[in-house]
Amino acid sequence: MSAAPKTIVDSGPLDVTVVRRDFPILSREVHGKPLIYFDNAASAQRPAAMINAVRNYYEEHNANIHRGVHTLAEEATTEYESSRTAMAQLLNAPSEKNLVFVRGVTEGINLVSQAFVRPRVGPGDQILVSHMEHHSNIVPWQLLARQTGCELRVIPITDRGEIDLEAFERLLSDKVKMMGLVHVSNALGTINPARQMIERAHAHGIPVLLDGAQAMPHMPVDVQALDCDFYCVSGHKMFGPTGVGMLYGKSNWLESMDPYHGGGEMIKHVTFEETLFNEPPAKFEAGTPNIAGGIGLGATARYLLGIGMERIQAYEAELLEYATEAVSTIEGLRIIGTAEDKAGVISFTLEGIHPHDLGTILDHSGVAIRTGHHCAMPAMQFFGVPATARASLAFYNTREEVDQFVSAVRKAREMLA
Amino acid sequence: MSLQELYRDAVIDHNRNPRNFSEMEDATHHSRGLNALCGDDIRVYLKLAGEAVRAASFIGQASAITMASASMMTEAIAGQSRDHALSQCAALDDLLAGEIDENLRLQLGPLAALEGVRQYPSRIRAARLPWQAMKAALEGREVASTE
Repeated sequence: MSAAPKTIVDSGPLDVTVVRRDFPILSREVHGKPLIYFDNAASAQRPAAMINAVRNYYEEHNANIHRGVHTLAEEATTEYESSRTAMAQLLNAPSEKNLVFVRGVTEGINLVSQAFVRPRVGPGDQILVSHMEHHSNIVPWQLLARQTGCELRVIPITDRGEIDLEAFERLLSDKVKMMGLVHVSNALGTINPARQMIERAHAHGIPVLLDGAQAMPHMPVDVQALDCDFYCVSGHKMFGPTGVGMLYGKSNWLESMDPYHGGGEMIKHVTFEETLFNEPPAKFEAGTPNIAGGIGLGATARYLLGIGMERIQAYEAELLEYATEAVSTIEGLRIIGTAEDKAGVISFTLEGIHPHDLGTILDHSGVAIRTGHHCAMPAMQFFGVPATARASLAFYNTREEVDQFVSAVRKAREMLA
Repeated sequence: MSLQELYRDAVIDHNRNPRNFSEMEDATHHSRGLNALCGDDIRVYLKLAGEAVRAASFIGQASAITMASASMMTEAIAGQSRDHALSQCAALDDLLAGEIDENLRLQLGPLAALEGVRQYPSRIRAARLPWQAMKAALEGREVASTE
């Protein structure tokens, strides 16, 4: 009998001491203090299941995929394609054929903007994005606007960092050809009412892309229930490898689109006169992909499915509430982004201390946070701050870590302010 | 690497009570030091008479390292020649690049308090920003960045 797969079958509340053992890096020290990793929104940590899958691929199955007939090539192909299936399950996509391997959300958005939207827009047309987007959901559309003469329109946000839904409604018209929206804001933590907004956009015939980079690590994502047209995730934000991610697209759109990159794998037949393209998703996957990354992403998806995103969401909701209350007791601290519906992100400023100084001082207490504009400069401009400090949580973080973080922030304040 | 090496008492003092922290209405030269990625944004003002720097001041929002470096700079260059200001800038760059010797420390005087920054590669640009803005002001450039 083979050993049972190492998944947590418990359906009760998440046991954080158990899941922490799955992440080897969490046992290291920084400046002689136990690592407290609160920079999950920049890049999350990796479970042993993922690290082992990547190593196992290199040690046991390393070969190119989709083409060879030898054993290693077939094993590698099976592993890689099983990742697509696992990701389809995690996102509740109708089929793995709806999922295109990309480098991450950034490439996913560029792909949709160039291969889907570009042939469909011209001068006078509009693209909608929100004021809280990451640069990756702004710049590709600005490039498209330059190429086609279409116009980028911005959905305003409120002082709490929520979408202004009335203003959103007023922006909807038949001139709008596409909407790109962040599902969960990396800079503010806001969980946007994506399903409701997609329904309103669809009423005007507007397809919607959701940037799911920060949603996927924190909550269940169901692309069919959301009814989004496209959904992008990045591997490294969801405890998987860097340089790999997934783009979900509705079948009719993927079939109607031209390829994004040209090359091997995305073709059926090539002559110098003409090339017959492959079916989706292969049509969008030119060249040898990040095979190890793809296999690692599949292992991560299976790991998350084993724990259950509902349990992760429930644990983090409690931790966020605890952390929000704890940091609110720090004098001079202002939380940037106070939406009703939030994921585990606390962006803040501290009176008298620049975020970069705070980042350096916290690092000496073993606490890793992000400081800066979080690739969301327009959101920072909205709140009138050049930069914030950001503590972003994951399901392996604990209340004890929050307490230590709060005391480290207090110490920094004593030192500099 | 200790935190006290980076945030020496002099650095903390200059950050808390920045010297010459004001706009200068009769400045002959001014420039902006902007590290947008870091969120450091300062303006440096100089009043020159011939080759002499008569006065220097700055305003802005930045990390303690930038604030202290700017504050110390205004004290170090006021009343000195333009060439002296530029040579102190070069000496500070050498210090931050790790070329420590006693002569350099002597030349820099109080500015040597910024020595600890060299242990923090990501913060070196913060210490250099005011000086690059000063250089830009002398050269008639509007903005300087060390990113």
